[in-house]
Amino acid sequence: MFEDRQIRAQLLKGTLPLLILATLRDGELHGYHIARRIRERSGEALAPSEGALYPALHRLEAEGALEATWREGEGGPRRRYYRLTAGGLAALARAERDWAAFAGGVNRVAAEGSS
Amino acid sequence: MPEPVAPAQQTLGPAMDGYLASLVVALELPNGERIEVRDEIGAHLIDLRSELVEGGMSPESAAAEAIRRLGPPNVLAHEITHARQTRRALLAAIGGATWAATGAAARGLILGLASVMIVAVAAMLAMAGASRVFGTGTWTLWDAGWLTAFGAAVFWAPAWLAGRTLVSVTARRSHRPAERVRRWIGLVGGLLVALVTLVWFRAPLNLASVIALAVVPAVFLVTSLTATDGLSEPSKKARWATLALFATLLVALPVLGLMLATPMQKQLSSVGSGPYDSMAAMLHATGFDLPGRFVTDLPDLGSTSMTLDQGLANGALENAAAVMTRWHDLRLEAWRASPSGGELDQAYTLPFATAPLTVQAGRLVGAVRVDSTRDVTLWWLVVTGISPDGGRDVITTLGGSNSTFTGSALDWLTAP
Repeated sequence: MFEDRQIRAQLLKGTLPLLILATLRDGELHGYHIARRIRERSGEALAPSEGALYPALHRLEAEGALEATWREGEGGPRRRYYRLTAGGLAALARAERDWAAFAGGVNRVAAEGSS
Repeated sequence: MPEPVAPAQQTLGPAMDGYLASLVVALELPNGERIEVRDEIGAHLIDLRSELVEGGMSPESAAAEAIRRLGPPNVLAHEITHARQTRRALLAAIGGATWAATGAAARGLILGLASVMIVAVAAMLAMAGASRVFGTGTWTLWDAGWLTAFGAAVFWAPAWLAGRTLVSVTARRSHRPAERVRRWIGLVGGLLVALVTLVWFRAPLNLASVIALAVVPAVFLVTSLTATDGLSEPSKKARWATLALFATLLVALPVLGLMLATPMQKQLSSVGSGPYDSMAAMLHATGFDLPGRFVTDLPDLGSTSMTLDQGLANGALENAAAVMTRWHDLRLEAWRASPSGGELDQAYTLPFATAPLTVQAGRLVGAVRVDSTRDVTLWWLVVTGISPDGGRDVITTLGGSNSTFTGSALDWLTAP
Protein backbone atom coordinates (compact mmCIF):
# COMPACT_ATOMS: atom_id res chain seq x y z
CA MET A 1 0.00 0.00 0.00
CA PHE A 2 2.80 2.34 0.95
CA GLU A 3 4.64 1.54 -2.28
CA ASP A 4 1.50 2.27 -4.31
CA ARG A 5 1.26 5.71 -2.76
CA GLN A 6 4.93 6.36 -3.37
CA ILE A 7 4.72 5.35 -7.04
CA ARG A 8 1.65 7.51 -7.49
CA ALA A 9 3.37 10.48 -5.82
CA GLN A 10 6.43 10.05 -8.03
CA LEU A 11 4.26 9.81 -11.16
CA LEU A 12 2.34 12.90 -10.11
CA LYS A 13 5.50 14.85 -9.40
CA GLY A 14 6.92 14.03 -12.82
CA THR A 15 3.72 14.98 -14.62
CA LEU A 16 2.83 18.02 -12.53
CA PRO A 17 4.16 20.61 -15.03
CA LEU A 18 2.12 18.96 -17.79
CA LEU A 19 -0.98 18.94 -15.57
CA ILE A 20 -0.53 22.61 -14.67
CA LEU A 21 0.03 23.69 -18.28
CA ALA A 22 -2.94 21.66 -19.48
CA THR A 23 -5.17 23.08 -16.74
CA LEU A 24 -4.27 26.63 -17.70
CA ARG A 25 -5.03 26.07 -21.39
CA ASP A 26 -8.59 27.33 -20.85
CA GLY A 27 -7.60 30.52 -19.05
CA GLU A 28 -5.90 32.03 -16.04
CA LEU A 29 -6.29 30.54 -12.54
CA HIS A 30 -4.68 30.98 -9.14
CA GLY A 31 -2.83 28.21 -7.32
CA TYR A 32 -5.70 26.92 -5.21
CA HIS A 33 -7.99 26.72 -8.25
CA ILE A 34 -5.35 24.93 -10.30
CA ALA A 35 -5.04 22.21 -7.63
CA ARG A 36 -8.80 21.91 -7.39
CA ARG A 37 -9.25 21.79 -11.18
CA ILE A 38 -6.69 18.97 -11.46
CA ARG A 39 -8.50 17.02 -8.78
CA GLU A 40 -11.89 17.55 -10.40
CA ARG A 41 -10.81 16.78 -13.96
CA SER A 42 -9.02 13.63 -12.90
CA GLY A 43 -12.10 12.47 -11.04
CA GLU A 44 -10.19 12.82 -7.74
CA ALA A 45 -7.61 10.34 -9.05
CA LEU A 46 -4.90 12.99 -9.04
CA ALA A 47 -4.48 15.24 -6.02
CA PRO A 48 -1.26 17.20 -6.34
CA SER A 49 0.40 18.08 -3.08
CA GLU A 50 0.17 21.80 -2.41
CA GLY A 51 3.77 21.65 -1.24
CA ALA A 52 4.81 20.57 -4.74
CA LEU A 53 2.33 22.73 -6.65
CA TYR A 54 3.74 26.13 -5.76
CA PRO A 55 7.41 25.34 -6.49
CA ALA A 56 6.26 23.90 -9.85
CA LEU A 57 4.26 27.05 -10.62
CA HIS A 58 7.22 29.28 -9.73
CA ARG A 59 9.60 27.13 -11.80
CA LEU A 60 7.33 27.32 -14.85
CA GLU A 61 7.08 31.07 -14.39
CA ALA A 62 10.87 31.39 -14.10
CA GLU A 63 11.26 29.34 -17.29
CA GLY A 64 8.90 31.69 -19.10
CA ALA A 65 6.07 29.17 -19.59
CA LEU A 66 3.71 31.08 -17.30
CA GLU A 67 2.99 34.70 -16.51
CA ALA A 68 1.61 35.78 -13.15
CA THR A 69 -0.63 38.73 -12.30
CA TRP A 70 -1.95 39.89 -8.94
CA ARG A 71 -5.69 40.50 -8.70
CA GLU A 72 -7.53 41.87 -5.71
CA GLY A 73 -9.96 39.32 -4.28
CA GLU A 74 -13.58 40.25 -3.66
CA GLY A 75 -13.60 40.71 0.09
CA GLY A 76 -10.66 38.31 0.41
CA PRO A 77 -6.91 38.61 0.02
CA ARG A 78 -5.26 39.39 -3.31
CA ARG A 79 -4.49 36.33 -5.44
CA ARG A 80 -1.81 35.49 -7.93
CA TYR A 81 -3.25 34.36 -11.23
CA TYR A 82 -1.21 32.34 -13.70
CA ARG A 83 -1.70 32.13 -17.45
CA LEU A 84 0.09 30.39 -20.29
CA THR A 85 2.57 32.32 -22.41
CA ALA A 86 3.33 31.50 -26.04
CA GLY A 87 6.34 29.59 -24.76
CA GLY A 88 4.08 27.79 -22.31
CA LEU A 89 1.76 26.70 -25.12
CA ALA A 90 4.72 25.31 -27.05
CA ALA A 91 5.99 23.59 -23.89
CA LEU A 92 2.53 22.07 -23.35
CA ALA A 93 2.47 20.68 -26.89
CA ARG A 94 5.92 19.14 -26.38
CA ALA A 95 4.96 17.72 -22.97
CA GLU A 96 1.81 16.17 -24.39
CA ARG A 97 3.75 14.49 -27.20
CA ASP A 98 6.35 13.21 -24.73
CA TRP A 99 3.67 11.97 -22.37
CA ALA A 100 1.77 10.19 -25.16
CA ALA A 101 4.95 8.45 -26.28
CA PHE A 102 5.87 7.56 -22.70
CA ALA A 103 2.41 6.36 -21.70
CA GLY A 104 2.10 4.39 -24.95
CA GLY A 105 5.40 2.68 -24.25
CA VAL A 106 4.44 1.87 -20.65
CA ASN A 107 1.05 0.54 -21.81
CA ARG A 108 2.65 -1.70 -24.42
CA VAL A 109 5.13 -3.15 -21.95
CA ALA A 110 2.41 -3.64 -19.31
CA ALA A 111 0.04 -5.24 -21.86
CA GLU A 112 2.76 -7.62 -23.09
CA GLY A 113 3.64 -8.63 -19.52
CA SER A 114 0.03 -9.46 -18.68
CA SER A 115 -0.67 -11.48 -21.86
CA MET B 1 19.94 36.67 8.05
CA PRO B 2 17.22 38.07 5.76
CA GLU B 3 15.84 41.54 6.38
CA PRO B 4 12.42 41.67 8.08
CA VAL B 5 9.48 42.31 5.77
CA ALA B 6 6.33 44.30 6.42
CA PRO B 7 3.73 42.31 8.38
CA ALA B 8 0.70 40.91 6.56
CA GLN B 9 -2.32 43.22 6.51
CA GLN B 10 -4.68 40.42 7.48
CA THR B 11 -4.23 37.97 10.37
CA LEU B 12 -5.26 34.38 9.66
CA GLY B 13 -5.09 33.00 13.16
CA PRO B 14 -2.06 32.00 15.22
CA ALA B 15 -1.32 28.71 13.42
CA MET B 16 -1.44 30.11 9.90
CA ASP B 17 0.29 33.38 10.87
CA GLY B 18 3.06 31.36 12.50
CA TYR B 19 3.41 29.17 9.42
CA LEU B 20 3.63 32.18 7.09
CA ALA B 21 6.12 33.93 9.37
CA SER B 22 8.37 30.84 9.31
CA LEU B 23 7.99 30.63 5.54
CA VAL B 24 9.01 34.27 5.04
CA VAL B 25 12.11 33.87 7.20
CA ALA B 26 13.20 30.76 5.27
CA LEU B 27 12.69 32.27 1.80
CA GLU B 28 16.00 33.41 0.28
CA LEU B 29 14.42 35.87 -2.12
CA PRO B 30 14.32 39.66 -2.46
CA ASN B 31 12.03 41.25 0.12
CA GLY B 32 9.33 42.11 -2.41
CA GLU B 33 9.14 38.50 -3.60
CA ARG B 34 9.07 37.18 -0.04
CA ILE B 35 5.99 39.31 0.58
CA GLU B 36 4.41 38.03 -2.65
CA VAL B 37 5.04 34.37 -1.77
CA ARG B 38 3.66 34.95 1.73
CA ASP B 39 0.50 36.53 0.32
CA GLU B 40 0.09 33.79 -2.29
CA ILE B 41 0.45 30.95 0.21
CA GLY B 42 -1.71 32.87 2.70
CA ALA B 43 -4.54 33.12 0.13
CA HIS B 44 -4.17 29.41 -0.54
CA LEU B 45 -4.43 28.61 3.16
CA ILE B 46 -7.59 30.71 3.45
CA ASP B 47 -9.22 28.99 0.46
CA LEU B 48 -8.26 25.51 1.60
CA ARG B 49 -9.42 26.16 5.17
CA SER B 50 -12.78 27.40 3.88
CA GLU B 51 -13.15 24.28 1.73
CA LEU B 52 -12.33 22.02 4.68
CA VAL B 53 -14.69 23.90 7.01
CA GLU B 54 -17.45 23.53 4.41
CA GLY B 55 -16.64 19.83 4.42
CA GLY B 56 -17.43 19.67 8.14
CA MET B 57 -14.13 20.36 9.93
CA SER B 58 -13.75 22.82 12.76
CA PRO B 59 -11.84 25.99 11.79
CA GLU B 60 -8.88 24.97 13.98
CA SER B 61 -8.67 21.46 12.52
CA ALA B 62 -9.12 22.87 9.01
CA ALA B 63 -6.26 25.31 9.53
CA ALA B 64 -4.03 22.53 10.86
CA GLU B 65 -4.92 20.30 7.89
CA ALA B 66 -4.29 23.09 5.37
CA ILE B 67 -0.87 23.68 6.91
CA ARG B 68 -0.09 19.95 6.92
CA ARG B 69 -0.85 19.70 3.20
CA LEU B 70 1.63 22.44 2.37
CA GLY B 71 4.37 20.66 4.28
CA PRO B 72 7.08 22.14 6.54
CA PRO B 73 7.54 25.87 5.84
CA ASN B 74 11.31 25.63 5.49
CA VAL B 75 10.99 22.83 2.88
CA LEU B 76 8.38 24.79 0.91
CA ALA B 77 10.53 27.94 1.14
CA HIS B 78 13.58 26.03 -0.06
CA GLU B 79 11.67 24.54 -3.02
CA ILE B 80 10.18 27.88 -4.07
CA THR B 81 13.52 29.66 -3.68
CA HIS B 82 15.29 27.15 -5.92
CA ALA B 83 12.46 27.12 -8.44
CA ARG B 84 12.86 30.85 -8.98
CA GLN B 85 16.65 31.11 -8.93
CA THR B 86 17.42 29.71 -12.37
CA ARG B 87 20.64 30.21 -14.33
CA ARG B 88 18.60 31.90 -17.05
CA ALA B 89 17.31 34.44 -14.50
CA LEU B 90 20.84 35.10 -13.29
CA LEU B 91 22.17 35.73 -16.81
CA ALA B 92 19.21 37.96 -17.62
CA ALA B 93 19.81 39.81 -14.36
CA ILE B 94 23.46 40.49 -15.17
CA GLY B 95 22.55 41.89 -18.59
CA GLY B 96 19.59 43.88 -17.30
CA ALA B 97 21.50 45.24 -14.31
CA THR B 98 24.43 46.36 -16.47
CA TRP B 99 22.05 48.19 -18.81
CA ALA B 100 20.13 49.77 -15.95
CA ALA B 101 23.34 50.79 -14.17
CA THR B 102 24.62 52.42 -17.36
CA GLY B 103 21.45 54.51 -17.51
CA ALA B 104 21.71 55.36 -13.82
CA ALA B 105 25.36 56.36 -14.25
CA ALA B 106 24.42 58.63 -17.17
CA ARG B 107 21.81 60.34 -14.99
CA GLY B 108 24.38 60.55 -12.20
CA LEU B 109 26.85 62.18 -14.56
CA ILE B 110 24.42 65.04 -15.19
CA LEU B 111 23.77 65.36 -11.46
CA GLY B 112 27.51 65.23 -10.67
CA LEU B 113 28.37 67.78 -13.33
CA ALA B 114 25.74 70.20 -12.07
CA SER B 115 26.80 69.74 -8.42
CA VAL B 116 30.49 70.22 -9.13
CA MET B 117 29.85 73.28 -11.27
CA ILE B 118 27.87 74.86 -8.43
CA VAL B 119 30.62 74.04 -5.92
CA ALA B 120 33.36 75.22 -8.29
CA VAL B 121 31.64 78.56 -8.85
CA ALA B 122 31.14 78.93 -5.08
CA ALA B 123 34.81 78.10 -4.47
CA MET B 124 35.97 80.60 -7.08
CA LEU B 125 33.79 83.30 -5.52
CA ALA B 126 35.18 82.42 -2.09
CA MET B 127 38.74 82.67 -3.41
CA ALA B 128 38.00 85.99 -5.08
CA GLY B 129 36.50 87.23 -1.80
CA ALA B 130 39.51 86.02 0.18
CA SER B 131 41.81 87.70 -2.30
CA ARG B 132 40.01 91.03 -1.87
CA VAL B 133 39.86 90.78 1.94
CA PHE B 134 43.43 89.62 2.49
CA GLY B 135 44.95 91.58 -0.40
CA THR B 136 46.73 88.58 -1.79
CA GLY B 137 46.78 89.71 -5.41
CA THR B 138 45.74 87.69 -8.39
CA TRP B 139 45.06 84.06 -7.71
CA THR B 140 44.73 81.31 -10.18
CA LEU B 141 44.10 77.60 -10.36
CA TRP B 142 47.77 77.02 -10.96
CA ASP B 143 47.97 73.31 -10.40
CA ALA B 144 46.34 71.30 -13.19
CA GLY B 145 45.69 68.56 -10.62
CA TRP B 146 42.73 70.62 -9.43
CA LEU B 147 40.98 70.19 -12.72
CA THR B 148 41.41 66.43 -12.30
CA ALA B 149 40.04 66.68 -8.75
CA PHE B 150 36.89 68.43 -9.87
CA GLY B 151 36.62 66.08 -12.84
CA ALA B 152 36.84 63.06 -10.53
CA ALA B 153 34.18 64.55 -8.23
CA VAL B 154 31.78 64.54 -11.17
CA PHE B 155 31.91 60.73 -11.04
CA TRP B 156 30.87 60.39 -7.39
CA ALA B 157 27.17 60.62 -8.23
CA PRO B 158 27.38 58.10 -11.13
CA ALA B 159 29.25 55.68 -8.85
CA TRP B 160 26.59 56.11 -6.18
CA LEU B 161 23.65 55.55 -8.52
CA ALA B 162 25.31 52.74 -10.50
CA GLY B 163 26.21 50.78 -7.34
CA ARG B 164 22.69 51.05 -6.00
CA THR B 165 21.07 50.16 -9.31
CA LEU B 166 23.34 47.18 -9.97
CA VAL B 167 22.43 45.58 -6.63
CA SER B 168 18.75 46.41 -6.85
CA VAL B 169 18.22 45.15 -10.41
CA THR B 170 20.44 42.08 -10.03
CA ALA B 171 18.61 41.07 -6.85
CA ARG B 172 15.17 41.54 -8.34
CA ARG B 173 15.83 39.89 -11.70
CA SER B 174 17.90 37.00 -10.40
CA HIS B 175 15.41 36.45 -7.52
CA ARG B 176 18.17 36.60 -4.97
CA PRO B 177 18.17 38.63 -1.76
CA ALA B 178 20.03 41.92 -1.97
CA GLU B 179 22.26 40.94 0.93
CA ARG B 180 23.50 37.94 -1.06
CA VAL B 181 24.34 39.77 -4.31
CA ARG B 182 25.61 43.06 -2.93
CA ARG B 183 28.79 41.62 -1.45
CA TRP B 184 29.88 40.36 -4.87
CA ILE B 185 28.79 43.44 -6.74
CA GLY B 186 30.44 45.67 -4.15
CA LEU B 187 33.73 43.81 -4.20
CA VAL B 188 34.01 42.95 -7.91
CA GLY B 189 32.49 46.23 -9.11
CA GLY B 190 34.46 48.24 -6.57
CA LEU B 191 37.67 46.55 -7.69
CA LEU B 192 36.92 47.27 -11.36
CA VAL B 193 36.07 50.90 -10.61
CA ALA B 194 39.25 51.18 -8.51
CA LEU B 195 41.33 49.73 -11.35
CA VAL B 196 39.92 52.33 -13.73
CA THR B 197 40.19 55.35 -11.43
CA LEU B 198 43.40 54.49 -9.59
CA VAL B 199 45.46 52.49 -12.08
CA TRP B 200 44.25 53.01 -15.64
CA PHE B 201 43.25 56.69 -15.59
CA ARG B 202 46.21 59.03 -16.09
CA ALA B 203 46.03 62.77 -15.58
CA PRO B 204 47.76 65.68 -13.85
CA LEU B 205 47.45 64.89 -10.13
CA ASN B 206 47.79 66.48 -6.74
CA LEU B 207 46.74 65.23 -3.31
CA ALA B 208 43.16 66.47 -3.71
CA SER B 209 42.75 64.77 -7.09
CA VAL B 210 44.11 61.48 -5.76
CA ILE B 211 41.62 61.67 -2.87
CA ALA B 212 38.81 62.58 -5.29
CA LEU B 213 39.71 59.62 -7.52
CA ALA B 214 39.89 57.24 -4.53
CA VAL B 215 36.44 58.42 -3.41
CA VAL B 216 34.87 57.11 -6.66
CA PRO B 217 35.37 53.36 -5.91
CA ALA B 218 34.76 54.04 -2.21
CA VAL B 219 31.35 55.55 -2.99
CA PHE B 220 30.55 52.60 -5.26
CA LEU B 221 31.59 50.13 -2.56
CA VAL B 222 29.63 51.81 0.23
CA THR B 223 26.44 52.33 -1.77
CA SER B 224 26.43 48.83 -3.24
CA LEU B 225 27.15 47.21 0.14
CA THR B 226 24.21 49.05 1.70
CA ALA B 227 21.81 48.81 -1.27
CA THR B 228 18.50 46.99 -1.04
CA ASP B 229 16.50 45.16 -3.70
CA GLY B 230 14.60 48.41 -4.24
CA LEU B 231 11.19 47.03 -3.32
CA SER B 232 11.69 47.68 0.35
CA GLU B 233 12.01 51.36 1.10
CA PRO B 234 15.31 52.48 2.64
CA SER B 235 14.89 54.07 6.04
CA LYS B 236 14.69 57.84 6.36
CA LYS B 237 17.86 57.72 8.42
CA ALA B 238 19.76 55.86 5.67
CA ARG B 239 18.53 58.31 3.05
CA TRP B 240 19.67 61.30 5.08
CA ALA B 241 23.00 59.65 5.86
CA THR B 242 23.66 59.10 2.13
CA LEU B 243 22.74 62.68 1.31
CA ALA B 244 24.92 64.01 4.14
CA LEU B 245 27.87 61.90 2.99
CA PHE B 246 27.55 63.16 -0.58
CA ALA B 247 27.25 66.80 0.49
CA THR B 248 30.20 66.48 2.88
CA LEU B 249 32.42 65.01 0.20
CA LEU B 250 31.43 67.68 -2.27
CA VAL B 251 32.12 70.50 0.17
CA ALA B 252 35.31 68.84 1.46
CA LEU B 253 37.04 69.15 -1.89
CA PRO B 254 37.28 72.97 -2.11
CA VAL B 255 37.80 73.18 1.66
CA LEU B 256 40.75 70.83 1.31
CA GLY B 257 41.97 73.03 -1.49
CA LEU B 258 41.79 76.13 0.64
CA MET B 259 43.62 74.33 3.45
CA LEU B 260 46.40 73.09 1.23
CA ALA B 261 46.41 76.35 -0.69
CA THR B 262 48.09 74.74 -3.65
CA PRO B 263 45.63 76.21 -6.11
CA MET B 264 46.28 79.65 -4.73
CA GLN B 265 49.76 80.09 -6.11
CA LYS B 266 50.57 83.54 -7.27
CA GLN B 267 50.41 83.82 -11.00
CA LEU B 268 53.96 83.37 -12.19
CA SER B 269 55.13 84.51 -15.55
CA SER B 270 56.53 82.16 -18.11
CA VAL B 271 60.11 81.02 -18.50
CA GLY B 272 62.67 83.73 -19.10
CA SER B 273 60.89 86.67 -17.55
CA GLY B 274 59.82 87.88 -14.12
CA PRO B 275 61.54 86.19 -11.18
CA TYR B 276 63.64 83.98 -13.44
CA ASP B 277 65.51 86.96 -14.91
CA SER B 278 67.53 87.40 -11.76
CA MET B 279 68.15 83.73 -11.34
CA ALA B 280 71.88 83.92 -10.71
CA ALA B 281 71.39 86.41 -7.91
CA MET B 282 68.63 84.37 -6.44
CA LEU B 283 70.67 81.22 -6.57
CA HIS B 284 73.24 82.84 -4.36
CA ALA B 285 70.69 84.55 -2.17
CA THR B 286 68.88 81.36 -1.45
CA GLY B 287 71.98 79.34 -0.85
CA PHE B 288 71.68 77.31 -3.98
CA ASP B 289 75.45 76.82 -4.02
CA LEU B 290 75.20 74.75 -0.85
CA PRO B 291 75.29 71.41 -2.62
CA GLY B 292 77.75 72.71 -5.20
CA ARG B 293 79.90 75.71 -5.99
CA PHE B 294 78.46 78.50 -8.05
CA VAL B 295 80.86 79.44 -10.84
CA THR B 296 81.47 83.15 -11.41
CA ASP B 297 84.16 83.03 -14.11
CA LEU B 298 82.10 81.14 -16.68
CA PRO B 299 83.60 80.38 -20.09
CA ASP B 300 81.54 81.18 -23.18
CA LEU B 301 78.79 78.58 -23.03
CA GLY B 302 77.08 79.68 -26.20
CA SER B 303 73.34 79.97 -26.18
CA THR B 304 71.36 77.83 -23.76
CA SER B 305 67.82 76.59 -24.10
CA MET B 306 65.17 74.78 -22.21
CA THR B 307 61.95 73.29 -23.56
CA LEU B 308 59.17 71.43 -21.83
CA ASP B 309 57.39 68.72 -23.75
CA GLN B 310 54.84 66.37 -22.14
CA GLY B 311 56.52 66.44 -18.76
CA LEU B 312 60.03 66.11 -20.18
CA ALA B 313 62.29 69.12 -19.61
CA ASN B 314 64.94 69.26 -22.32
CA GLY B 315 68.10 71.31 -21.75
CA ALA B 316 70.80 72.25 -24.26
CA LEU B 317 74.18 74.10 -24.19
CA GLU B 318 75.58 75.13 -27.58
CA ASN B 319 79.27 75.26 -26.72
CA ALA B 320 79.95 71.78 -25.45
CA ALA B 321 83.71 72.03 -25.94
CA ALA B 322 84.06 75.03 -23.63
CA VAL B 323 82.33 73.15 -20.83
CA MET B 324 84.01 69.80 -21.35
CA THR B 325 87.55 71.20 -21.15
CA ARG B 326 86.88 72.18 -17.52
CA TRP B 327 84.21 69.79 -16.15
CA HIS B 328 83.26 66.16 -16.46
CA ASP B 329 80.27 64.05 -15.28
CA LEU B 330 77.96 66.78 -16.59
CA ARG B 331 74.41 66.63 -15.31
CA LEU B 332 71.06 68.25 -15.91
CA GLU B 333 69.35 68.76 -12.53
CA ALA B 334 65.80 69.81 -11.70
CA TRP B 335 65.32 71.62 -8.37
CA ARG B 336 62.11 72.48 -6.59
CA ALA B 337 61.20 76.15 -6.36
CA SER B 338 59.21 77.51 -3.46
CA PRO B 339 55.56 78.21 -4.23
CA SER B 340 55.70 81.81 -3.02
CA GLY B 341 57.49 83.52 -5.83
CA GLY B 342 60.36 81.78 -7.51
CA GLU B 343 63.08 81.17 -4.91
CA LEU B 344 64.52 77.73 -4.50
CA ASP B 345 62.72 75.68 -1.91
CA GLN B 346 65.01 75.73 1.10
CA ALA B 347 63.53 72.50 2.39
CA TYR B 348 65.44 70.53 -0.22
CA THR B 349 69.18 70.08 -0.56
CA LEU B 350 69.04 67.63 -3.49
CA PRO B 351 67.51 67.89 -6.96
CA PHE B 352 64.30 65.92 -7.50
CA ALA B 353 65.43 64.68 -10.92
CA THR B 354 68.78 64.35 -12.68
CA ALA B 355 69.99 63.13 -16.06
CA PRO B 356 73.44 62.97 -17.74
CA LEU B 357 74.25 65.51 -20.43
CA THR B 358 75.63 64.05 -23.64
CA VAL B 359 77.32 65.63 -26.66
CA GLN B 360 75.34 65.72 -29.87
CA ALA B 361 76.70 67.67 -32.83
CA GLY B 362 78.81 69.86 -30.58
CA ARG B 363 75.92 70.59 -28.22
CA LEU B 364 75.39 69.30 -24.71
CA VAL B 365 71.88 67.93 -24.43
CA GLY B 366 69.88 66.12 -21.79
CA ALA B 367 66.33 65.65 -20.55
CA VAL B 368 64.77 65.09 -17.14
CA ARG B 369 61.21 64.06 -16.34
CA VAL B 370 59.60 66.74 -14.20
CA ASP B 371 56.05 65.32 -13.97
CA SER B 372 56.73 62.15 -12.02
CA THR B 373 57.61 63.54 -8.60
CA ARG B 374 54.88 64.36 -6.13
CA ASP B 375 54.29 67.94 -5.03
CA VAL B 376 56.56 69.43 -7.65
CA THR B 377 54.89 72.43 -9.18
CA LEU B 378 57.58 75.04 -9.81
CA TRP B 379 61.15 74.08 -10.60
CA TRP B 380 64.44 75.25 -12.02
CA LEU B 381 66.70 73.42 -14.38
CA VAL B 382 70.50 73.73 -13.84
CA VAL B 383 73.65 72.25 -15.35
CA THR B 384 76.31 70.90 -12.98
CA GLY B 385 79.64 69.18 -13.47
CA ILE B 386 82.68 67.89 -11.56
CA SER B 387 85.71 70.18 -11.74
CA PRO B 388 89.32 68.87 -11.76
CA ASP B 389 89.54 69.32 -7.98
CA GLY B 390 86.64 66.85 -7.52
CA GLY B 391 83.94 69.29 -6.40
CA ARG B 392 80.59 69.64 -8.15
CA ASP B 393 80.02 73.09 -9.62
CA VAL B 394 76.80 74.73 -10.66
CA ILE B 395 77.72 75.80 -14.19
CA THR B 396 74.56 77.57 -15.27
CA THR B 397 70.80 77.67 -15.02
CA LEU B 398 68.66 76.95 -18.05
CA GLY B 399 65.41 78.39 -16.72
CA GLY B 400 62.40 77.43 -14.71
CA SER B 401 58.85 76.45 -15.30
CA ASN B 402 55.95 74.66 -13.74
CA SER B 403 54.48 71.22 -14.17
CA THR B 404 52.09 68.90 -12.42
CA PHE B 405 52.59 65.28 -11.54
CA THR B 406 51.04 63.26 -14.36
CA GLY B 407 50.17 59.60 -14.14
CA SER B 408 47.76 57.32 -12.39
CA ALA B 409 46.74 57.69 -8.75
CA LEU B 410 48.74 54.53 -8.02
CA ASP B 411 51.81 56.14 -9.63
CA TRP B 412 51.24 59.18 -7.41
CA LEU B 413 50.95 57.07 -4.28
CA THR B 414 54.13 55.13 -5.03
CA ALA B 415 56.11 58.08 -6.44
CA PRO B 416 59.06 59.57 -4.51
